[in-house]
Amino acid sequence: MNPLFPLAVVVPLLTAAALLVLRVPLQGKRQVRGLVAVAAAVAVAVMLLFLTFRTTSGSVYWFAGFRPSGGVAIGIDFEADPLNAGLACLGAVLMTASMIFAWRYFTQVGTYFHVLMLTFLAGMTGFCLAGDVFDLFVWFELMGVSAYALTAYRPEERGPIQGALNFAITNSVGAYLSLTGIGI
Amino acid sequence: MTPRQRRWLFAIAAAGLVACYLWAFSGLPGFGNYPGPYGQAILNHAIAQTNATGVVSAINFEYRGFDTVGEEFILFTAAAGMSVVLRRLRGERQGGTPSAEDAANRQVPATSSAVRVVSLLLVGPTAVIGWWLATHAQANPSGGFQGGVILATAFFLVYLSGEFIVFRRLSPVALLDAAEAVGAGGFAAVGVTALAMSLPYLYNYLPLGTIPGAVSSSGTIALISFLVGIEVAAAFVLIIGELLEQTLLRREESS
Amino acid sequence: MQVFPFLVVAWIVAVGLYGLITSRDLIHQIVCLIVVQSSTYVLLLAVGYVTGGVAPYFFDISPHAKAVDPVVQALALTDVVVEAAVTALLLSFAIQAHKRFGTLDPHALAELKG
Repeated sequence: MNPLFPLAVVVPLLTAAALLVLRVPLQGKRQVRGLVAVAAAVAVAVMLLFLTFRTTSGSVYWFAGFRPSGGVAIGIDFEADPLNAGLACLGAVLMTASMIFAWRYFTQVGTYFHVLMLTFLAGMTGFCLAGDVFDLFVWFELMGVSAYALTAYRPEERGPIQGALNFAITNSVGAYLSLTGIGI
Repeated sequence: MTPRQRRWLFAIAAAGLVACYLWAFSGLPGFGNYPGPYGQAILNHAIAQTNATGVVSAINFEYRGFDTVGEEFILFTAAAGMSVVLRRLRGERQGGTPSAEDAANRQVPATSSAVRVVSLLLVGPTAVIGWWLATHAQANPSGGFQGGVILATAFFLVYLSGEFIVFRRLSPVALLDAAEAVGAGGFAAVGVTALAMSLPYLYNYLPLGTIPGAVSSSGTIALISFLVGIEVAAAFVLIIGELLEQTLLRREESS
Repeated sequence: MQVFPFLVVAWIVAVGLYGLITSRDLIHQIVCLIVVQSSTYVLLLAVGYVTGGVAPYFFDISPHAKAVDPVVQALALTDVVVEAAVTALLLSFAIQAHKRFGTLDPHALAELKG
């Protein structure tokens, strides 16, 4: 029961929450915010790298201690095998790269950018590692909501707004249809 | 593609979709014959394991607590996203205090005293009800989400009584952001504390009391429900405050 | 009676999608999206129903009473919150679209083509 499983998802979430709590004190300190966000992404990438290479295929982490008994599993689990942990690791590496790129590219980026990117990272990681179909849906929705907000990050231009609307509506319809499948 | 062609394409696709739906539904056991072992397994063990008589809340905050963490952060992200999208851009001035000409141009009747009195009187009971609902998740069909929304409604009653400026002063964005982050982060942190005790994430490590359904006897469920209530209330006040503030902004633009 | 709720689900999806596609107003489109989502609530709750079962709250009734499935109710609760969040975000997009494009007609959002 490797504690890296939940930490890979919870670390970016807690960092995002912390960045928002400290939004006003860190108002002018762009470098500090960028550093914290990049550090969180790097930490997630390292954790996932560890999970990809050091765990045997099909190792499972049960949340809240509810192991299956009698053939019925009543808790949620995370599973890591080289494929999904590797994919999540790729996502984390790309996220680190994009945050480093955005450091110089966006001249006026507030706290919310890093908050949204970190929740996006958490959603991606959770989506890759999830072993429970409804949990998969929840992390998919988190990815979706962060992505809609990030797409519309420049609302003063028309293109992003139209794109974000299209993306959000189409993605949401797809997500709800998949939820129907989960229900059935 | 003309709208007519689009409609035909949709009709064909929808027919296919509905056909797939009906095919899927024909394989289900009929309405009322729920066969699954999952629900029954939880019903058998929930009260013994968690001392929570409200089984749905026990599932939400204990058995499937990790789903609820994700969902809370979805709300958190949506509120943060709205702050981004609806932020004050260059070229839009903030209407702090509506001037007299603005008020005269509005052509909206002033709030009647009856509405004012009733909404202000209802603020207190609504807040109490929301608080009670948010903290008693383990006994009745309530919980952090429901209680949080009703707590947010207490703030909106101030707006409804016509006092928009008071509403804005009572809900500063920085405080709401912080409250929201504390609620969401607190929930995730409750789970991390379990990790620090070498227990699985979100294990119910607080001592379980003896009375099923009492606040103090369900372990982490009551704590998590309270944190979720704070987060949801802050998120909703933030969301609707942002939307309402847009009306102030737009009036300034057009004046 | 055995399959009626599921037929309702299919109908709600069809109606919601039709409204989404033939809509001339962004707010109407967002509400149609909510309608499509509501069909999933109906489906979840219909799947979990047990004939003759009571609500799974045992504060004042015996814990061994026959109860409906609590898991799908918890899932539906989660979904309601997710939908509220997505709707709020979409409405803020609609506000910005009105400011940039001057109209709420989705067919008039012509900035991105191809």
